[in-house]
Amino acid sequence: MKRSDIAISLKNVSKTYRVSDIRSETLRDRLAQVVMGGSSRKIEALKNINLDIYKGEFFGIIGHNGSGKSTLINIMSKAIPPDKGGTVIRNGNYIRLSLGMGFNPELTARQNIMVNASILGLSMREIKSRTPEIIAFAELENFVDTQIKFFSKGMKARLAFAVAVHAQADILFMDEFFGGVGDERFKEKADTVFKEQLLKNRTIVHVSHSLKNIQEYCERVLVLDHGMPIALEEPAKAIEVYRNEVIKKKLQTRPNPQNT
Amino acid sequence: MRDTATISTSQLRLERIWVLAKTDFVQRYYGSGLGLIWALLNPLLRIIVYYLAFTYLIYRDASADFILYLFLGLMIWQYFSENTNKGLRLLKAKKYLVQNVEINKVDIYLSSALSTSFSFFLNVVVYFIFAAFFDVQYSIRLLTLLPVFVILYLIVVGVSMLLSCVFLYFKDLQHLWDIILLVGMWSLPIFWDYNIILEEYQILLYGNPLTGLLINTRYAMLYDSPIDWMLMGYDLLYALIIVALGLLALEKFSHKAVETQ
Repeated sequence: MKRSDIAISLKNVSKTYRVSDIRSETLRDRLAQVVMGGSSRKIEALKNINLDIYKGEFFGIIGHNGSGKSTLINIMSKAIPPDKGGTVIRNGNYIRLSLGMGFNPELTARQNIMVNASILGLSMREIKSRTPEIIAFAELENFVDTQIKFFSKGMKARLAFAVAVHAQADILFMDEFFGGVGDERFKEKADTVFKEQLLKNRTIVHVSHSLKNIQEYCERVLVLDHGMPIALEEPAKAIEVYRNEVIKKKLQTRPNPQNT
Repeated sequence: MRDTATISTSQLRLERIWVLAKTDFVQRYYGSGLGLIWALLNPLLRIIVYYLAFTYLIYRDASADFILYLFLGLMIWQYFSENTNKGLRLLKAKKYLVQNVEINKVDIYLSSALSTSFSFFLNVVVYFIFAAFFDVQYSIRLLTLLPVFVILYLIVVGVSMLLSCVFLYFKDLQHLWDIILLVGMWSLPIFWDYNIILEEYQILLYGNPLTGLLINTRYAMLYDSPIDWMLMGYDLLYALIIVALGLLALEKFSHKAVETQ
């Protein structure tokens, strides 16, 4: 692959957090820490990741809770820096999609579409021309000027999805965000738009616990275990490693109630 | 994908700042009975209260000039304190933006200060209505207000950037800032005239960059006299230094907002 074909490149990326065992958020705590020499521990959230993700690739990341998936996405998006010595190169702009992405309950559906679409990179003109389409897709024609706080969970999820598929970015980080929301009929409609509109011609980095989606869509999958990359394989193999190495190990280390 | 390939990144950026500011402003008044009218009603009622308090209760012979003098002082001060109080928590409050999209973090501060500027503008409108009532004269000199406001805007953006970065490390900055604001308010000639301070201490007033802005605002909006360009240059320098420090702090520390819950 040529260098220009690379969307994201990570070299020697590690991330260590320093956590203090005592609370150290106030001025007094900080001073006490300095004077008394407070203790802090290091937590290695990511350990030496080397990785190239190619343009147009559908890349998956799996791992148990706390394995470093979200930290890795934060580093790829450059929202946080890696430890010294690590480098991150990203070619192209990104958007991180998650369904919990900020709707403002006090604002109406129309106002929320305006803000969110703008955040997702649409121009005012585009937002104006696409708003009817978004509303129609979310099936909220009768609630355009209703405050979101009166919406049901399902209505909110439909609206969030309808806006999100318009995201303008070369790279999409999808954090447990994947197609189907709402009832069966909406799910089907959403899946179609999702595949045909959102996924086309983009680099996707997908973090999920749903192994079914990972298997179906991803070209390569990274398996993380306590911040360590333990496999970078095609989906079937990666899932096998994940099941054998991570899930089994977890089950084995779980305390047996009969012994306690 | 895109409907129009021609739109430039900077135009998109400006539009986003505008949309964020507008919704922030609307949100503040949404849900209350009178809605946006409050934004206009608030300064209007305030000036009436000052008028009544100072003409009937406190000084009895307070001149109209003094009411307008006071209103301008409080207008500038309120803009500063409201913005910086909001700015303190901005990185935390807008964490979802920093984390989810490619946004220049400065834009968060620019839009927040712009949103407060809308209410500030309504204050200015109310002021002019009252000033007309009291027969205040204006000339082309009024235009010198524009650079004064731009400097004020830069200062609140810079201070907010600095505060929000420090706030990530020290949560009790909020309480400390309340006290600093109190000291700041009384160090400014809002209620009093800076000429009453002994000459050798007047230099101390310049420790607060808002002093110059306040004095110049009154020159332009109340006395129709030429503004003090020296003072303006000094304020601009102050603003640029604060913004530069704020940008530096943002670059170095803002990732902490994403790293912590």
